[in-house]
Amino acid sequence: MKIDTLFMDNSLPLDDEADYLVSKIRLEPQRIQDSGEVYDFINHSDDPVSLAKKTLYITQNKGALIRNCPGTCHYTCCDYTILHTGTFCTMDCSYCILQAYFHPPVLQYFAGFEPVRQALQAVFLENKIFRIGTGEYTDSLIWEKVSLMPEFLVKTFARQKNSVLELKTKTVNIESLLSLDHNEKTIIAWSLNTPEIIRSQERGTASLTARLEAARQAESKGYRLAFHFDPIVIYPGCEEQYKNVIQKIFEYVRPETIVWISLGTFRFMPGLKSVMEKRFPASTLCYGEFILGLDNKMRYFKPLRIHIYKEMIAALKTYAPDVFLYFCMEDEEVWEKCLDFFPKKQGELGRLLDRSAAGHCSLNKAFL
Amino acid sequence: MFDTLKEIHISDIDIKDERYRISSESENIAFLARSIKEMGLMNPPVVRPMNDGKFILISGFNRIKALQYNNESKVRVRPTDTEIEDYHCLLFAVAALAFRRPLTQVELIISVKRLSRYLDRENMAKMSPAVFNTQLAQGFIDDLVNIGSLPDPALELIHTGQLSLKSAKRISHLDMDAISFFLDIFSKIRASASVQLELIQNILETAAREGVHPKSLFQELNIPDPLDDETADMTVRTHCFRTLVFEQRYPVLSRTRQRIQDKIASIKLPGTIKLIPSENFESRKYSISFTVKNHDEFEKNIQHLTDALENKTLREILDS
Repeated sequence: MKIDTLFMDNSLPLDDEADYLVSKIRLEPQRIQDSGEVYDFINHSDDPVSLAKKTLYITQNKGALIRNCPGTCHYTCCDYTILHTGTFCTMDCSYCILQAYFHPPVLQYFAGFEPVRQALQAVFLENKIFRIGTGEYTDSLIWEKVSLMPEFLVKTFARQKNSVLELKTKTVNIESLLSLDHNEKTIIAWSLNTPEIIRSQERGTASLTARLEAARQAESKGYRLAFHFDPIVIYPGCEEQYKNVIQKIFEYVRPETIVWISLGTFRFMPGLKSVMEKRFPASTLCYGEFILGLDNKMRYFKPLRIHIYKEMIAALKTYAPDVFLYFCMEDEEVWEKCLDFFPKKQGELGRLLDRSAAGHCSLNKAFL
Repeated sequence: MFDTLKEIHISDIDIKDERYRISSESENIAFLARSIKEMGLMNPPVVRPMNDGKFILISGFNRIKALQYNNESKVRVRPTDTEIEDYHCLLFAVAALAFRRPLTQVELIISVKRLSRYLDRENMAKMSPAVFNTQLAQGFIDDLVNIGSLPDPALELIHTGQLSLKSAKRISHLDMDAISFFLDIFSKIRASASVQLELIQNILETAAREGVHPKSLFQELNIPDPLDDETADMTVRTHCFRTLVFEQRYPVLSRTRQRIQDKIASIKLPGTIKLIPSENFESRKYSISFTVKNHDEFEKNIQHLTDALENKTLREILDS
């Protein structure tokens, strides 16, 4: 989606990074004293979510740059670390939780290399493995064509040995990264779905083929890869379609370069449903067999989740028996029935992922 | 706006003209007639003089009926001035009733709908304390106007409690075929407001998922509609219909529930012992409970549970 309104904090200097961003966006920024002006601008719209996708606010992150993933109780979390470089997204997926997560949603770009450098330096000094991602509250690469931040992050991570950077995306924006010396410390990860779901629910995202083509390019430049089947959507014929996607992955990339593949069926905060019904009236995604989960999110009825997971895992094991597979936010029963084990101990899943990251990304294994 | 009190012939009132009638309730005329006979007419009806020398009623429909019941030929009325506009007559009619007793939901809908011809929602909201004897929010006024536009028998169903305001609001945004379909449903069942909303939501969502119009949902899914069984008791019909709709909306969950319930029943635990799975089977935890009045009953229940240890189905349920 094209940005048509640009706000920028008055206090923010027009340094190289900001200047580059503004010049690429080709809009004169409206300098503002108070972020409330952006919130008011968006809130006064009949459709704040759509307006927010076209309104960029360049600001500084005034909260914590490094955060823990907000996993919920009852379901096993991967203990991910979030590098908070921005919020919201220019793409428009019907199921995107960010539509209901922020009140209102604001497309923020957090400018400033120095605070990021300082925050990361503190992490790099610790004697443990970190898996750090920027794709929790936004897509990691939506600004790649107009921002120097992705390049800065890849270069910064290349110079240390205890952390991997995971750039999670539905775009194919990797051009500026291809020539960088990443030192295997950056994992480029794609969220994948069936062509039917991409076409009908993921407005403005790259096609499946384009994503896999980009993955092939990244792999050819030595990048480590990851894939996330999240959200998996259950609909008639989905099993075959997801298996086709799995087959297609391995037509493009080698299993050895894949650090992990995650699976997670569609789940949502109840509040998302009304947003989806209003913004995507043709979407029937939330009319599946959802029940209220133990974390107060709507989830597919468990036997349905188990069924699709088993089908997909069997296919994944055929092509890549050694790739580390994990569930995003599932419980013991699902793990045991689908993967024959359950990372029961506190932090165990995280340690397994650390091990995979260390093995693929040349991290210091002494920190495991 | 009002003239002084005036005595007129009741026959000069066109009582068939009910354009300002708001009340949908027919009061006990016999009691009112007796009261007027013994104590006199305390509040004179309000009438609007027409050009032909006749009058139409703005308020006092039941009082006039009671006077006719008493075979009275004349009545003291409060006429409006002759130049009064329709809009003001309507305001008087609503206010006269609203300040006598709270308006019923149907009266409120009728009043708001009629006044919406003259007032936008903002002005109606502003005037509402003086007219409706209560503050109406603009959004609520919009809802009432929409509900007022529903076809028959919507108001009748609201009046009988078979259609809640929330349900009426929900269906008022649908196309006419769907509205008629839901009105037909609610004319055949009696459900609480929350169950009505559940039914509407489940039907709409199932139809959307199946890609069919709600009205043809049952035909498309080849399911006999329990509402067609007019011999069934309304409560039974409502229960069957609710179950059927839920089964279509949540087929796998419904089948699983049924299967587990059948298995639990096959264990033949006594009625005092309850074996209950977690809600929607999301957790693996089952709860087992029983109540006792004395130690003897406690011992019996424990014995039943001990016997159940040998039951294969119980193991199957708990270890699945």
